[in-house]
Amino acid sequence: MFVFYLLFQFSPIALYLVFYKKLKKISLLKGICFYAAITLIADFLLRVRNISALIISFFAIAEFLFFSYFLFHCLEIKKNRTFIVLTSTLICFIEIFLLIKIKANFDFWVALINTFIIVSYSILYFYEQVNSTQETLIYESYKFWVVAGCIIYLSGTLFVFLYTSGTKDKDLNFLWGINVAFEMIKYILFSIAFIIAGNYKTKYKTRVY
Amino acid sequence: MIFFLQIHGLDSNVPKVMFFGTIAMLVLTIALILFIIFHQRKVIRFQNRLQQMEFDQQKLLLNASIRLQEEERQRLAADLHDDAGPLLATARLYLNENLVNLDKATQLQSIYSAKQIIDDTIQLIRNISHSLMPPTLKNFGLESAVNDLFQKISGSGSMNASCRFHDYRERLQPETELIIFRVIQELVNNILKHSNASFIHLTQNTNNNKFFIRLHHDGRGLTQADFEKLNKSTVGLGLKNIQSRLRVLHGKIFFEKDISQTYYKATIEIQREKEIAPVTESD
Repeated sequence: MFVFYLLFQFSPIALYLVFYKKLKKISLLKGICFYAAITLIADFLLRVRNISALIISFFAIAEFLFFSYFLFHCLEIKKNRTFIVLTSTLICFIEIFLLIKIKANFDFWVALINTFIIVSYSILYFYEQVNSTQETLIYESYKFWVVAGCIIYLSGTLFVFLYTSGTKDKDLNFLWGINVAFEMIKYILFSIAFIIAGNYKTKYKTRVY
Repeated sequence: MIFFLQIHGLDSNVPKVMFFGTIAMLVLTIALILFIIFHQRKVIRFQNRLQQMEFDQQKLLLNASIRLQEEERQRLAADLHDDAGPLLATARLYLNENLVNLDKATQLQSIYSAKQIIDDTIQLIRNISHSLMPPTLKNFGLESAVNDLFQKISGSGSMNASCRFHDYRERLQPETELIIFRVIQELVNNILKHSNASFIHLTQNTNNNKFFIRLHHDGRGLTQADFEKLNKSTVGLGLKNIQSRLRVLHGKIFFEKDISQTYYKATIEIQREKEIAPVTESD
């Protein structure tokens, strides 16, 4: 299972290398590759040695910031972008405060706030796309698949993180399994995004949406 | 997911709330994504259909306008060829080279006849020119031009025609007036041709910076549904022409039957421009 998971995690990087000539100008996809690489290393380290809960929590905040940054670039209306910048900064400060000052039950709060905020941003993105005058279908854009991957992963693992604290080791393995399953779905959707972006450019030789 | 749960077994202490919560969240998210996809597809399909309809309508109006222009040209060509041409040819006959060899009385008679014919030709050309651009409209404005038109109709004895302008203190732009006049002409022409009415009454009003022209008649008329139906069909060239003219002014036209169900009413509504050409003393 873990080998499969690592393979799925590596697939965006592999696809980026396959379509390198076509995708090298899209910085957002470079960002996803970087995110996949970091997650890959973090997961590997988590397996081989014990990492403190503090580092994992910081990683969760960094992941939230990465998703926010991605959605910030997906949005076109300035007002919505400003909203993302302001709320993300505020949330980030709140989470760091919770992490350092309160310390208790951090997974619960991070998961809840992050999921709620990222799903809200995603709805904002979908709303913008539905109201835009572009005649391209939403799923023809690589951004859509990345956003879909993010919200499916976050909403799927929300309850997992809500129940992480105070769970026995035996059950933690089960929860970890669910998390891995959703991570795999996320990376499958990310891979679709890479394939779409790579093929879109070959087909139309224009801006990749 | 189910496969995954089967591997681990549901005998663990993980609460069912978590399991069903995860499933519910997943279903909600997938439903949201599917809703967005299908909704956008529906919107795009609707937009495409709307664009196609608009394109068809534009094409229809353009065809109508071209056909009308061609008809107008044909009418002009016929007027010039059939009326002005023979008159000038006759005048030329009177003024041939042989005229100098004739006696003085015959010469005078020929010159007089030629002069008469040339006068007739001038009058004919003036009439053609007036039909292209009525001088009353150009010099005195819409009210006088419509009055003139209605007096001519009444004068013919076939129909009682009257008009009243309630709020026409300032003239509109000359191009606007010409378009409105052409629309009125077309409507009156349709009433004369098809309605079998005994009277036409035109009133003018302004309200909320909008210019209204209302035409009543007691014959067989059109309702808005008939108008829209004719507009979409290939017949009804005059109506399409009315619509394309009003489109230039961002104007509208409504056809309806009077509340009393006795009269038909056509209302032209035009947004008044800010810069209105005032009526000068010389006019």
